[in-house]
Amino acid sequence: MTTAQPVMEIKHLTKHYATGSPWSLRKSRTVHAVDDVSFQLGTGETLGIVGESGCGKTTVSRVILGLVPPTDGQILFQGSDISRLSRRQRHDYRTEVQAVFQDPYGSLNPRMRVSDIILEPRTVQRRLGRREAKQLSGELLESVGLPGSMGTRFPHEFSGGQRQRLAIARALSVNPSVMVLDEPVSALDVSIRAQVINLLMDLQQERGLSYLLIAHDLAVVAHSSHRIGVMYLGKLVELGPSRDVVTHPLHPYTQLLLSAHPVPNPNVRPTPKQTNSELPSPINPPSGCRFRTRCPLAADVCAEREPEFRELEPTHWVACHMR
Amino acid sequence: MTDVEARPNVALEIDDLTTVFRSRHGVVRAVDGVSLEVRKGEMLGVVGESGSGKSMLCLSIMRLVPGPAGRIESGRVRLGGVDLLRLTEAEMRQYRGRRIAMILQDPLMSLNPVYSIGNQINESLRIVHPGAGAKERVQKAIELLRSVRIPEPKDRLKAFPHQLSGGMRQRVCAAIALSGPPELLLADEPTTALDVTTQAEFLRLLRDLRDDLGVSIVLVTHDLGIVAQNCDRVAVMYGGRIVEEAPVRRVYSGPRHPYTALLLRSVPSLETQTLGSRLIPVDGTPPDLSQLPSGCRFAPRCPLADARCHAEYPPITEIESDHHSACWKPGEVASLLEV
Amino acid sequence: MVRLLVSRLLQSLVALWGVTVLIFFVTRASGDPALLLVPPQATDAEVAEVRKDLGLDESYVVQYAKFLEGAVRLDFGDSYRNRRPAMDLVKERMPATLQLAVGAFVFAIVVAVPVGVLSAVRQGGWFDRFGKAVALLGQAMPSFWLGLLLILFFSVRLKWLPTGGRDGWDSYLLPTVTLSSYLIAVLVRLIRSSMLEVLRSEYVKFARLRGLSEYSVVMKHAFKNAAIPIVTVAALLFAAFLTGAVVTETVFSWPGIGRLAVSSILARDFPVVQAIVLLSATIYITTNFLVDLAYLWIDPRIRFS
Repeated sequence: MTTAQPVMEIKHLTKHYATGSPWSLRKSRTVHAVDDVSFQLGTGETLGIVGESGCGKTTVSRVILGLVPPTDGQILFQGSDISRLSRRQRHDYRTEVQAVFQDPYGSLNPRMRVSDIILEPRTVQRRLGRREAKQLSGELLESVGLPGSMGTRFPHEFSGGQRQRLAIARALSVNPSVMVLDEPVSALDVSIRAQVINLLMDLQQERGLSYLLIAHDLAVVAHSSHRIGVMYLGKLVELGPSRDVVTHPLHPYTQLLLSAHPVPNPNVRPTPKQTNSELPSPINPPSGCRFRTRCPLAADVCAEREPEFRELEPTHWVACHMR
Repeated sequence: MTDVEARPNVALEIDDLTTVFRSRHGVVRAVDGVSLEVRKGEMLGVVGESGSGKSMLCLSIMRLVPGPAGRIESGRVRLGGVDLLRLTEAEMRQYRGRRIAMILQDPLMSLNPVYSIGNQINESLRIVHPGAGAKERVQKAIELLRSVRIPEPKDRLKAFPHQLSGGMRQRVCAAIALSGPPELLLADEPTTALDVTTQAEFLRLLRDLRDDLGVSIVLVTHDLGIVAQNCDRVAVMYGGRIVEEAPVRRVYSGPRHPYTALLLRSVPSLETQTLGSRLIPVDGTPPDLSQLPSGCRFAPRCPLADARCHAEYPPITEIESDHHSACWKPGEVASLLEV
Repeated sequence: MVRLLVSRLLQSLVALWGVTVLIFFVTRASGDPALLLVPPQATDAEVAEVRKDLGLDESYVVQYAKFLEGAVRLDFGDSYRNRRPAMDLVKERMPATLQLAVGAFVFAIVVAVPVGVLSAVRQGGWFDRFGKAVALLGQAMPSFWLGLLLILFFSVRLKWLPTGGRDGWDSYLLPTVTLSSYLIAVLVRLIRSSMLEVLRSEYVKFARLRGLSEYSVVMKHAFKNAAIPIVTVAALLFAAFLTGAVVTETVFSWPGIGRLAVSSILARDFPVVQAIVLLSATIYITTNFLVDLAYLWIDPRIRFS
């Protein structure tokens, strides 16, 4: 799975947003959406990022996709810093890194034919002849498990799961090497999710794609990822092989997430643990360890110093003083 | 109005309920001949995907099917022996919020943004306890907020919805729903919009309401994990009908309908032995209510389906004691779980 | 919240100052008023005399400073036409315009709110169709046409009401109805669509689920939210009424600001035009400020943000 050469390297990524308009007299405040996050994405690897709302996982994906510039830190794609690319190279980067989003209803233009939709990223590069376009769209549709003849239809004729397949086909049209999957199955019906997850795993095998999978459902992430990163309030708190993270989580927050996850087995009773579930504000995050306000293990040191993100076990990283 | 003697351990009895919608594609039966009972002090899970009719079932019980396109066509919904469907609108209003309450999926949108929490709780209390004075109602509102474990309840009364987190807002909705307190609480995907840790706490609250106050709860969800860990019995809906109904443990250990079996098998889990392995999906797509097959609604996606399944709809029958299934071949379902 | 108010107040003052600059230079750019005041055969010396009298011979900067200083004291100089303080002319006309505007506004609210709300509640029914017809007619029919029709019917044929002027209570009826017709139409349409949107919301659904009465659901829970987007439009149209309803005033020979404005512009009577424009601008800016205040009162999300 992970080869020596990572396809993407995120170094000390930080993204702060200012709130309030520049015209208001109010002092503008800073939202710490992502703070000093570093990880690598291996070639052919799926790295899952989990965390609850406000943890910064979507901001990470937006920065990687080049939709917002980082406040600080670097993103290296195949070794080169994407903020220093020439115009030409940046264009290449945008085709190499494609995205699939949560909402298969909003992301497809209802007035365009399906073949035009899925070939759109391709035609931005170069105009296609009618014959070539037809053949390509047929191939793409078949590669995502849809009949190749469906290209002449419109999005509303497709179900939610099929639309997500179209979104995947569109991303594949430019032969990317990395796909950012932002909650790719959470808007789909339960009986459809497995189909889409399997499709994504098959495509990865066939094409050697690297996935950054962002989701709130721990089971989906654990099942489809080689490694899992857990984010909390803008920080990466744990990173390791899926099996290790699920079987012996090192960070108390990961443990909380796992214990809160509803298991489809009536013999496993939910843990009656009482915790404070209120998330602190990202405008004024707690000092030291950001999880300490909800942490059952919190001690004085947790408020004083920020825990270092360290490799406690081989390939299994954690940021916690209590470990 | 009491037409039948109420059965002692049954909170709500639904009999052959049908709710239809007029749409561009003709009349759609969103709830199609559903019979179901909610027992006193139990949490009944209603599981289904979008379009299965689970939300419309709840709105039908509350008699708030959005008109003029939708209406309840037939059936009986009995609460304590009274058929709610035969009440006048004014009489029905005496039940809503007092004897049956319902909370919705989106806690961010369920509370009116322009009124304070206290104002909205007070409004419900005025209906439920018309005799109470203003001071008494404030006291009662604080108690309600405390009962759903909202910290500093007195200060929260002055807060507006946007000042609270999603989890807190859903608790406020629960507090309002509990002002009766009701005999029956319908919870329509109450935790779908919440984060997983917040969800766990809200579900614990629902379990405590059941255990401590004896409120009967219908928990509508699409998440089989939530049902497994919280409910006593489960009803699985597909295409407007109930396809399987049984105590939770039975359904999870030995489903008797192929849809339930395949759904259980397709869900990714945290069980370590299956991590990273290929999931076994349910083939096909959820049914389009305007173009339902004539036979079993699940037949087009069912590996067991034969000619009879495609031709005739299987009635829901009690296959073994307290285990109902709408399948012609309930005995073969177990074979689907052998991988 | 106080910060928000102070910042809005400062913005308003800046806007008002901008208006003074604009008025001053635009009126100067439109031609020389002195030429209008002297007989056609006047000599250059005579024209220069008049210009000196009016203070038009000084540099623009000095003229503007004088203008601004006067404006602060509500002194815009004398009207070129009848040699009386411009502000006095405006003040004389103010009551007539104010009465008409307030009357038409109140009438519009009283009619439009129930019609709009009921149309939404009874969506698709006959009342809704009536409401939509009112909205369509009111917006499609020019007010001079409606005014003339009303005069023809009520004054000429039935001889119930006077054709124009401003004496006696009955002279108010036709202008009020005419002026309010457009606002009624706009409000009915806005209230209806805004109510329809709010009635579909989850909190209205939840209010019904709680067993609240339909009246309380519609008037307490739906209407206050539906009113939020309407306040701005209603207030700005009211401001437009206050600054002169030219057409209605003309049709009914109503002695208001609107007619004064038109005649002053045609006569290039700068002081009066400036007074009216500055007055209008002040009314608009004040209205905007009051709308902001109203939002703070209605919408807690703004109050506490």
